[in-house]
Amino acid sequence: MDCNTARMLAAFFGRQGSELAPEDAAELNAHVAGCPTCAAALRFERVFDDRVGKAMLAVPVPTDLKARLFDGVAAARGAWYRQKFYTVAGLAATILIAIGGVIAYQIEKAPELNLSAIVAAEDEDAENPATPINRTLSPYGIRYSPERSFDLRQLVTPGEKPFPGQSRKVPFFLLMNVPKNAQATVYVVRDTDFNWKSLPLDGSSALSKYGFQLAVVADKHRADVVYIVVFTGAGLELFLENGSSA
Amino acid sequence: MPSMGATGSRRGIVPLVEQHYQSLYRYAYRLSGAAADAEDLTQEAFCKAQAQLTTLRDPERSRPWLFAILRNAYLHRARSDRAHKQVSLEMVGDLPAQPSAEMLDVDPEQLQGALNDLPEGFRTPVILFYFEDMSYRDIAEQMNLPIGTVMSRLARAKSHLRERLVLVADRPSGSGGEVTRGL
Repeated sequence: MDCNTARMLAAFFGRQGSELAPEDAAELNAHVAGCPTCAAALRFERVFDDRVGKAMLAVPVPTDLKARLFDGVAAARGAWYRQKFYTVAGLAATILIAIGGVIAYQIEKAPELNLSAIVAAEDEDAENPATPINRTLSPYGIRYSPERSFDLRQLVTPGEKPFPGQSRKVPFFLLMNVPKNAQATVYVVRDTDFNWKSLPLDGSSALSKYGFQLAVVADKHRADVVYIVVFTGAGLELFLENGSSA
Repeated sequence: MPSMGATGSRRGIVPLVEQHYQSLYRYAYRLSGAAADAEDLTQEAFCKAQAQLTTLRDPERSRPWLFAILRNAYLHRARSDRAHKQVSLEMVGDLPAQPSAEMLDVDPEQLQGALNDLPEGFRTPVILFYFEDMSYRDIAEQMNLPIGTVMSRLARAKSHLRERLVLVADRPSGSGGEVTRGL
């Protein structure tokens, strides 16, 4: 090993001991042992590193630095939480405003109720009791026209409900004969909804254990529609207009 | 942003501050050359560390992790302040000149002056080398550089320090037998 190589390796001598490869370190040591100039250079390198290392660490640290650092990280943490709070609050406010907007839009678009129109509709129902029944039957494509006229002064309410023992809903209306303490549920059934062909038509009835009877009334105009009446009391006539016997 | 997990809680950053604030401040001082900047950088580094605490997977590596955060903070500042005057190392050799026989202690302020003249890419490895006692490999990892580059930069930075801090024996000196400058 020549002096130039030795000086270069000396420059790369780490402070943690040699970072040279073992064979390079061995060659360097062998050269230094026989070369006073390079030995001095290596000594200088080590002393220089040692002195500079000490000077490098000689930085006075302010006595209250730690307290200021803690204050700083606490403030940063507080700022982060505040920012997160404002973000969440802003998001919540945006959602509330959006919901409010949707509600306001729905209110704005909701149909307006008119007092005189409501009263007029009630008047119409009173004048023609079949009107509310027709409103219920209309979605089924049926118009109220039984062969035997029910006494619609007894009408309580029209609606839809499953046919007894079935899951499919059909339109119906309820009649109450208060003086006779009797009631009738009238189901309006198309033959496409249920096959009622086997039921007895025209007032025939079947008495149940608790006095319920069943009668089937045909429609005036349509052969595919019948009025199936489940009722209590003395007979179907309790729910028919006077003289309405076909 | 602080995490509320086990390592991210307030307890997570406190021991790091307790354990490393002095060395981090000294490192910042040697990088920036000014006490006020050093304190700002240290503060910034701990605030960033607090926000990124969940990224510290190995607590044993917290020291180099903090040093890297601080250096990045310093580089960020340095980029916005490019007026800093630095010497060119073009003419500085890698190999040590003929040394003097004996040296006195190095003056820390003069050392800082010499460091301030170095470009950051040379200043950081020499600080880490002396200050942290880091191996070449650690410095290379810290700076994300090839180890050969680190060795070369370190050799040139050390030559610069030698030239600034030491008057070699064969140089003319104004005071006859004086062989050192700032030593």
